[in-house]
Amino acid sequence: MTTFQLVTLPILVAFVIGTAIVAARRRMTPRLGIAWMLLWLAAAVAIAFPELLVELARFLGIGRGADLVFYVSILGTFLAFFLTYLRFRRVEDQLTEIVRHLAILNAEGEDKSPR
Amino acid sequence: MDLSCVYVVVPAYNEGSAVHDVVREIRLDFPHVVVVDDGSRDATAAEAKKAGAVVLRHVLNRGQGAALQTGIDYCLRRGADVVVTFDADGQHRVEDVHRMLAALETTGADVAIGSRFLDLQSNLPAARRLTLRIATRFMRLTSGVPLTDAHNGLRAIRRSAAQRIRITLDGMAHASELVDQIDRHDLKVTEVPVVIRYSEYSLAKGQSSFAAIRIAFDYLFKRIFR
Repeated sequence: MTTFQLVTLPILVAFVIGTAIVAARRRMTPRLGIAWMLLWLAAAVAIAFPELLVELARFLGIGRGADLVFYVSILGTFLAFFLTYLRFRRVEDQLTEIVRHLAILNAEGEDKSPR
Repeated sequence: MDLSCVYVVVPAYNEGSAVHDVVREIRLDFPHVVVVDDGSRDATAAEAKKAGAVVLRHVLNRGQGAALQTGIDYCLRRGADVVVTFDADGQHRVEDVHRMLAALETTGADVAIGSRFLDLQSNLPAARRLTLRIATRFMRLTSGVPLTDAHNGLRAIRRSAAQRIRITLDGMAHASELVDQIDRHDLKVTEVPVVIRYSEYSLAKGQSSFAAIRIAFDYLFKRIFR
């Protein structure tokens, strides 16, 4: 086993266990917890058995395993940006609703109070 | 038309130096002026109140589209028959509001929208004219309503129409969104020639031609993803 594997594999195992605990405490949805655990597991498998990764890369027509990891992470990052942007806009809409509600509430409150 | 049932909404962001005169001018004809102070950091709210407007205050700046919808919501709750939208920077003329209300009556339209291109009196700078022409062409491509002026802030909306319109684009793209909703809800729209008084002040406060790209993006994003 290489030094890299010795260092990263225990960390990834710890991540899987940590994610399981967080999900069990209902701090994230079960579906999200499983998705994260699968991601950590996939990373662990790729590090423990690099030849599997190379085979998968070859199957997809990509030369090296590292290239496959690179492409997938770039795509994943863009997807994450996009989803974050969508969520951001949703939160902005909710913020506007609150600000609007406050503005109308305050104006109507002033109307009723004696001058 | 009974002018006491007409509510004039004036969205304002840092318009402390202009909003007082604008409100006073409107108030000479229309008793109900609702200024939506969109989180200004200057004396916009105080000046508007002094001039006799009801002031709705956004505690955070949310954009002109958001301010308009807040104003419309309030006017509907107050029982407005017609909601007029009017810019705070002094570019619109009150006499044009009367022509728009008359147009609602004579044509039976649900919405009257001002157009600075049906009347050539506006002293429109060339760059602004070109940007607006492109924006108008863009709007005609993306929605089915044939208007001559894409982003005119002067509008008169009947109560029944205002109840169906819901502006969700907080920024400046709300003008295109409004046209879309007119189309979607099959509202009858009429255009009224109006004169825009371009001043150094209104041009400095207005949108730059580059901002048009941002506005188009906001609008298209909405069309595609929501």
